[in-house]
Amino acid sequence: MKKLIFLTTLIVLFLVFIAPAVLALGIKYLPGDLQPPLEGTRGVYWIFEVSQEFFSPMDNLTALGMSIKNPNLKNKKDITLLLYDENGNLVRKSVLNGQNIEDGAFVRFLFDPVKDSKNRHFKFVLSAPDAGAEDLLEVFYTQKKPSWIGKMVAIEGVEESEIDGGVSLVTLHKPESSLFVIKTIYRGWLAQISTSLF
Amino acid sequence: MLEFIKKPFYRNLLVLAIVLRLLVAAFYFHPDIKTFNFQSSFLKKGVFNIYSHLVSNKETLPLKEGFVYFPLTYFFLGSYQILASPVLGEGFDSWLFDASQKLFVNENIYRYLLVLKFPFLVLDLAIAFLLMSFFKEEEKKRLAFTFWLFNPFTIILIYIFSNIDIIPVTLTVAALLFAKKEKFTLSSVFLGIASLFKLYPILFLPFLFLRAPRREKIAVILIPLLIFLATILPFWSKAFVSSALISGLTTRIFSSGFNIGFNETIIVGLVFLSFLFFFAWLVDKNIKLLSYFTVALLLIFSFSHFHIQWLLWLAPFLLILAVSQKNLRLPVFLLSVLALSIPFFYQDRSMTVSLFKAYSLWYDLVPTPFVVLQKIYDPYNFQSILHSLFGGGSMLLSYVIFKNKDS
Repeated sequence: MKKLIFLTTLIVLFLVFIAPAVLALGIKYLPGDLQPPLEGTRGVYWIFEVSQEFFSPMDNLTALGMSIKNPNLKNKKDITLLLYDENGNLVRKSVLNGQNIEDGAFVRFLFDPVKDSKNRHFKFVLSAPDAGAEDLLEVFYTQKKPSWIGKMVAIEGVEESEIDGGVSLVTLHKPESSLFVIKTIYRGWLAQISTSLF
Repeated sequence: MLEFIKKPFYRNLLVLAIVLRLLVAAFYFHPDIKTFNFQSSFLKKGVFNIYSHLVSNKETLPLKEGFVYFPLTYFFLGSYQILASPVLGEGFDSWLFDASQKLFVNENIYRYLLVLKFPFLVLDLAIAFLLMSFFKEEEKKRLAFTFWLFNPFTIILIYIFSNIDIIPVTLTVAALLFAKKEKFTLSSVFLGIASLFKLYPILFLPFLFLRAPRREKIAVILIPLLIFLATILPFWSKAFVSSALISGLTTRIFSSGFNIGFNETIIVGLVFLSFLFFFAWLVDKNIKLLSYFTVALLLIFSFSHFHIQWLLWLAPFLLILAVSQKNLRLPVFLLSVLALSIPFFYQDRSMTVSLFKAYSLWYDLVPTPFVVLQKIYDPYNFQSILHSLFGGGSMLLSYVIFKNKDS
């Protein structure tokens, strides 16, 4: 009986205090901010593209996360994200295939880290030239965009027009180390305990 | 009970058990706790029929789900929220209505989780005391008390997964206790009330009917059914039927089967339940309800894609068996590990990594065990292997339970 009490106590203490650290080892990138609310969608197919400007809140920008609709999982074509820097130079490219995008899923366009990305201005363009109107992908946008999300532009061939709101976007950044991730999580957790319970 | 608390052994264990539970309750977040509390918050605004209210206001509500539980869950949780509102504070309702990720960085989240899970703690401790009442010997009482409070399974099932099924589970344990004391009508009343929270206790009624003496047979069937029907009648609507009565969760129990042609399916779980009923009726001359309640649930879980929270239905019954029969302890432990590990590999973030989101939102970026396993093996096949092992073990355990039931 004593063994059972000891073992259960140990398991609970592990679950509460140690498991978050162990699980944190699986965190490969950190979000720059919370994802803004999803309020509408914009189709990406054929000559219809979407571009979005933003400031990177942190260094080591390594992915852009956004929510994408793939109605009835019809789309099985490529969707491409091209990332441009403040001078209009293409700095990264990432391609996903529609068959890996569940309807409404949060997807990540991964690329090699941009080391000195903090506070720099970027623009990305989303395009899916092989998709038609019948198997279009739709990217979610928000009207409640934070200050680091800038202008959203609808592209139709050579014509461009600015539209309200911005892509509901999360920047993802490669952490310095796993220890940094664990330390940051525990620091935030302890701070939240003190405000929540005391 | 006060005498009992005075004994240092029980008092110390109780304090440690409560501390461990509070730790888990405060920091683990399962989305159900917010969903059913959001829905139950409409009671304080005067809403009586939550089923039709949610359906007719679906467009404007931040959470779109229907209310999948039975009516007493709504009134129980809604009333508790009214009682606890001074502790929850003013910002609580806006937290409930927040469907964004910001809800996790709310400065009061741990307080909310603790307060909302507090009724679970009371019922959890009540089960520990009820379980002791099944035994006469002091040693077995101690074992029942310790096994219940110090097994990781129920702590995980109740506090990590915010398991509202703790209410019907407490009532079914009380029903079994009354049946043991030969108070069958009272037992059926408790099963009737339990079914107003969750439908599954209705499954036990046929066995109670067979076990009850002739003079009480009509009462043990009629009373719970009347309680059930009288309570659900005011809520009867398309919304109630689709959200609660024949919701995906309720009917999942009877969804696995094999086709015998012409669109007819043999439902495996139901075949075994039917077998169990006819066995009790025609063969068994000494019906032990504990065995039938346990085996009925083991068979259901063996042949259905169960929700992890359902495993709690079985826990007190298995515990009584493990206390009474030493040789069952290890098999029960191994089967519990197996059963708990099956949903761990579901393609559902709220079964694993998302549970840590109250620590940090960053855990949303951790891949699930399903995704990790997918890189080396088909996770569905792995789930099937685990479930088959559980099913085989459960069937043999059922046989042993029946073989030993008279001893």
